Amino acid sequence: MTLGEIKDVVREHFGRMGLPTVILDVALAEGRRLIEREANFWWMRATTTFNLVINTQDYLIGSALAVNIVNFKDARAINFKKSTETRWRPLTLGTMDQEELDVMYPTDSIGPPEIALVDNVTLKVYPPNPDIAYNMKLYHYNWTDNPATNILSDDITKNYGMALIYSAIIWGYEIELKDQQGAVYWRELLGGKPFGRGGEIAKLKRQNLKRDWQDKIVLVPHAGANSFSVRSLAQSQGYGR
Amino acid sequence: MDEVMYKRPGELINYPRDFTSFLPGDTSITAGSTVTAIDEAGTDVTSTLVATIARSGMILSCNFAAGIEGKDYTYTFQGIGTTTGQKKEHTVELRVRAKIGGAA
Repeated sequence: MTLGEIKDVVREHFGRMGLPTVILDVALAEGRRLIEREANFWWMRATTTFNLVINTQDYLIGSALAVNIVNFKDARAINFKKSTETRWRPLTLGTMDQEELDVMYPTDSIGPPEIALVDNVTLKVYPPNPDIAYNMKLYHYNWTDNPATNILSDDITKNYGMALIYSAIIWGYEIELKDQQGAVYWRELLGGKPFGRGGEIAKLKRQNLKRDWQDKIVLVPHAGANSFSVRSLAQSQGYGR
Repeated sequence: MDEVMYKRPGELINYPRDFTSFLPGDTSITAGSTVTAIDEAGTDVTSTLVATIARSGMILSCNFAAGIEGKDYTYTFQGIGTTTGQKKEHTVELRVRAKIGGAA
């Protein structure tokens, strides 16, 4: 479906005049957030490059900031290289807390980055004083927007349109109609009960897991340690959150 | 939005807007009274969608022409009173749909 078709379906539910277009746009934007809060999905992936600054540890993430990302949600991985190199090197990201790293690294330690973390909206590198201006490539997830015009579509509207319709209708019931009981019905269609383990959300998570496996094959021993936690699509609610 | 209309892409509809009740101190609107149009993304489409503007007494009218299937256009009629200089705007949301019929 295009965005316009999704709008028409929601309008037919609330009445063609019942939900003003500007409010419908808000409902669809909030509906998309309701879906994206459930996981880091494939359509939210993006990469951003930036450079370290000598003797500078902190890099703000945001629009027109050091790490120029408009709707940052979550970091996935980070690589670095010297500007003269052609091969990226992986940098450990987010495996330790800031308080631990602050103890490990003296404030005057200098060198190439060894570990990084994202603290709120700041990306920090350790050791705290980069020796040169390394090239950095951050792999991350963004909050995304609905297509800009009615005649456009994206992966959600085109292949999971019901998810966006359900989520916009939930918003309409809760905010416009103030009908919590009505919203419960649509909420179960969107995310099952408990929320996030059924309905359209579960379909999205299963697809998310399949897409992730194409990139990262993880082999888990079938016997021995953790033998009772064999990964399967049926257990998909544990992934992608 | 003051009014919502549905229109098929091939239709050419004349829409008159009477400002008499909104500009009680005037008997006519100025030549500067305008009709503009934007699409749902906020892009100005006046040059392609506002076909003909006519002003007669307190009535400002234009033709709703063409339009792309599936899009929503917002027309803004701005009437300016000749005597008082007061301005009143009236908006119409025009949904161009080939296969959705019935009233808004």
